[in-house]
Amino acid sequence: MTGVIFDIKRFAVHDGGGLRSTLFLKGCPLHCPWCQNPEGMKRAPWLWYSPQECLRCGTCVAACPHGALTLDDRIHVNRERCDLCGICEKTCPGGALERTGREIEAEEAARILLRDRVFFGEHGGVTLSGGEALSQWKFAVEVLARCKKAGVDTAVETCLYAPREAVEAMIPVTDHFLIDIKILDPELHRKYLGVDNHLILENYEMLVRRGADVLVRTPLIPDYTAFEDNIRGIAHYIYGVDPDAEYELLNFNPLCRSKYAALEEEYPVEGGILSAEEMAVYYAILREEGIPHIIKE
Amino acid sequence: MRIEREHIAGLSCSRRIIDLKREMLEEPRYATIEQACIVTESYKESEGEPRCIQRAKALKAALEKIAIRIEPDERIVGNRTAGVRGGVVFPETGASWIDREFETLPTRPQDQFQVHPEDIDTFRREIMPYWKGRSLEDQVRAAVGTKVNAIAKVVKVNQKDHSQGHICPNTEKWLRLGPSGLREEAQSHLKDAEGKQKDFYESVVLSMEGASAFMERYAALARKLYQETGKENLAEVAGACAKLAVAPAESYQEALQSTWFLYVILQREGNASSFSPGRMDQYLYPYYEHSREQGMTLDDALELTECLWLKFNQLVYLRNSNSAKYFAGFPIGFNVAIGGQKEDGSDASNDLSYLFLQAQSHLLLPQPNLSLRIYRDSPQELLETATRVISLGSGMPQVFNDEAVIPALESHGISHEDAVNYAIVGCVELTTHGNTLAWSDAAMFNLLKALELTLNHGVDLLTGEKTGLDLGDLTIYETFEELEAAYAKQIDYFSDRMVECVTQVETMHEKLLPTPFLSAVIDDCLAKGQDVTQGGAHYNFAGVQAIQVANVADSLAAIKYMVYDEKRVSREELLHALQTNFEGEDLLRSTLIKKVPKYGNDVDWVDELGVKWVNYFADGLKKYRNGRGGIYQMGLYTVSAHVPMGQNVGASADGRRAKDPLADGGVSAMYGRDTNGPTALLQSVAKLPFEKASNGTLLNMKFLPQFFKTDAGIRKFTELLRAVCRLGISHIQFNVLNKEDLLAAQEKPENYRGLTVRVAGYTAYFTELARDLQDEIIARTTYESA
Repeated sequence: MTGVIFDIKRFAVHDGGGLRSTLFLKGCPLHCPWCQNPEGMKRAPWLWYSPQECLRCGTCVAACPHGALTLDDRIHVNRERCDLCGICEKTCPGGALERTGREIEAEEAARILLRDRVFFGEHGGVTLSGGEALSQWKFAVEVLARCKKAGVDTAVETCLYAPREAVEAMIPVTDHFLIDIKILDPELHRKYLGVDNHLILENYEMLVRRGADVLVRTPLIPDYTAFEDNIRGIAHYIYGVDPDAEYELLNFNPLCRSKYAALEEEYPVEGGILSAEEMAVYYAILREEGIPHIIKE
Repeated sequence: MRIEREHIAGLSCSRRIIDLKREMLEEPRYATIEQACIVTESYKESEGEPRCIQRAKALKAALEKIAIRIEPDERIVGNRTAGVRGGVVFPETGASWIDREFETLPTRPQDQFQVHPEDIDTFRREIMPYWKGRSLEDQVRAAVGTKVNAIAKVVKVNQKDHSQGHICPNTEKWLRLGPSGLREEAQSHLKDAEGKQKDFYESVVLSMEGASAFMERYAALARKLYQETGKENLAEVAGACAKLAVAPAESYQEALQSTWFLYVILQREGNASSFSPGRMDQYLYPYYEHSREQGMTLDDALELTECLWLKFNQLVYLRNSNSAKYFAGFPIGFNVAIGGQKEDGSDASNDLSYLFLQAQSHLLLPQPNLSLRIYRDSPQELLETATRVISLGSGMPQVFNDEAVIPALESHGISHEDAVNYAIVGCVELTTHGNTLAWSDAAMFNLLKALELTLNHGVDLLTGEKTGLDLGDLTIYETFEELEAAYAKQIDYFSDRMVECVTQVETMHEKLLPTPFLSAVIDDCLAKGQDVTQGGAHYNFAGVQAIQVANVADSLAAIKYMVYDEKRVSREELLHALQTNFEGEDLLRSTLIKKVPKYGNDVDWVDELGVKWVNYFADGLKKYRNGRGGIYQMGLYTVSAHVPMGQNVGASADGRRAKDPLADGGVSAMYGRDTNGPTALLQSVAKLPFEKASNGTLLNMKFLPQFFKTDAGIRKFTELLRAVCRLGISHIQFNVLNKEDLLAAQEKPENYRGLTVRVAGYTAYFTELARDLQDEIIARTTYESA
């Protein structure tokens, strides 16, 4: 069983308990305008260019057999011509060109993830993230099954926009579900993320019914998710589903702007990290709605 | 117990300590020739007597005559000079370099000292003429200078103009007997002794008489100041000093005072880089417990501890300008070890371990060099408390791993009992307690320079001089294996010559610098009637540092991959690029850096190249014996020497430009090249043969403060420490700071005088480091949490 991944991050400290290794699976059914990992959105591999590593030497332009690269103040990739042959990646002296996205056997993925097992201790382990981990759920199940078999704690970061059978298959191999509920209003959800949230909420309720360990998270994105009605609505809803719910608000992280610049795309979110005062307002809302376990990083 | 620990964590720093600290830091540092004058006078009077007697008489004269001072609020007293942080001119070991550099001391780039102009005249008139040709420095130069210089670019031979140090004396015995008890022990041996042994015992008696006199002088001064000021602390000090002159310590305060006198006198005799107190939380505990039973409060215990902690910062070490580059920031290495295990394997931490951590969190000064010993079952509370102190950014405590250190010591002939009770001396060097002369800093061996010579007919890329064996050059080696075979020969060639030089230096120390006072507190010197320099200690080692695994692994990996395996560059092209320092070869240089895997990223084949050559070097040392009959041990650390040692090396195949610094620390990756995060770095490091690196190792990691902001972050950090323990890595230390802090400190040093930074095996004031070392620290990888 193979899957397509775009990164393996070791020493991950924000993807669950303890020290973890996180596998990023490629492809996502949602289209969040603020996505932190745009390289993970599409399943297909992609030629990634890092302007800050680029020496502007033109070696790649000369080497490309398809004429897909041009150089002015930076390299531009003609995506129609590029067939991801990898010649530019090999010849680039600066390491500025890289194909993101590679196919990997589940066994190999598990082996790499378990390489840092000595760091996991009691609380750490392996996390699957993305993209959307459940967009390749059969692969995800196999990777986690191997990790569980090795006695390692497992977690999944998911938006839960996946068939019910996928979520059910994950339950036996997943110790912790870290799920995103980003927007409660179905209309807004459709408008911004491109899909309805009905399936997400159904899967969430099913996980709670089945007694899974679930942490709900909402990324606070200025103008998209970070407004009172949304946060109060989500808090109210999850308290209704699970009076013992754990809920975490993730502060906006604008660091991904440079990724969009590299892609020559606009990043649509204005503004920066929310201040401690702004965060305090949202925490107060959570308390008002009765959320018993407010998680703060 | 739990309640006591929580109480300790809540203790605040007293006004007395805050004031004493401020006054200490405000006082300017001066170079001083007072002791040099007294000692020179004494030598003239004792001309013709055995050297150990001359040395003992000189020490005694200094202890009896040198100006002393007590601050009105001090509770622990004693210093080498009346001023604080004085640079003591020590002509017995080196007068010529002082003569050459005296005027430059206030302005040199590293470790500056103010100078009284009249001292320069006195020195040249009264002191220099006597020591010319007599000092260790001059005699070493005469005996072995040519040989030392011939290998200097590859091997830096140490202790040529100063004493060895790096010694952990038997402080427990000193506390139990005091100078009077040790004098009696020497006298009892003296009855039946003859010849050299008789001289030795007599020299010990003289030294101890001097020690008692020194303590009595402080008692008298404290009494006088008490009469003038009525301050109770001075009455206490007077009582303690008077008692210690004739009797052993009983209370915690007396034990601290006695400990401090021991180290002041050791430095007065030896002027050495580092005498270390070792496991103070163990041997001071009975005194602490006794005083607690007598009603000493925890606040009082902490204040007394902090008084000693301040004292540890008042002695600095005057080195020549070159040596100051290698060991920047006046490290004097009062290394204090806490935690670890007892002999039966049970946990050794106690209230003092926590009090010492609390003192460190209050003072954040470079000394003592606080070291935490961890092992498989270290209490979580201890690790969390230590992590909170580490998060404050003073670089301390540094962390040592019993699981790696104890087996390494045992495999070098140290008994289990002594290995379990190990301590740290200087920066990161390993030792037993009170019975070793480890000669830890015998030499530093630049493996990267040896590779350079191997690639280029034995000819130095920087100077064009032929200093190594001519075995060919890169274009001649048809295979990577041929290159490796030549490299091995080059290493052997320099190792042989290094040992010859080190042995000669040791012989000079035996002849010129016996240390009777020190020998009285190193087992088995009194029993054998032998000075430590003659081999009187129970264990006798010599230590050589292999430098630097990251650059060697990366350079060999680049040559193997680019030239021999992938053939992406020809042998001629690469050699030419190295010879021309990558002139016009930016793309090749970038390819070497970016396209070849590097040590520190958990890439097995690259890491294994580092392992292979570290093993080769360590195994090669096995055939040698040092001047005292013991074996050589390998260390993997550089202190700050990666900067000057890098200045000696031409361009290297890892993409490093000529004269750029080497990787820092010892086993760290080249800065900025460990791109797979801390766990990959640690996995790479863990492949090294730590059981062979029994002289000590050094790994630097830098974290930003954000990592420690939450309890979860603190816990995650302790899990990292436990993983280090499981991985069998001997040592690790952490800098916690952000780049903005450091850039601001460069711009406005006056606002950052208290900012300490972990340079290598020790902490120094950032603003007192030379600019290039500051830049280098800023450039090192900073881990943001993923």
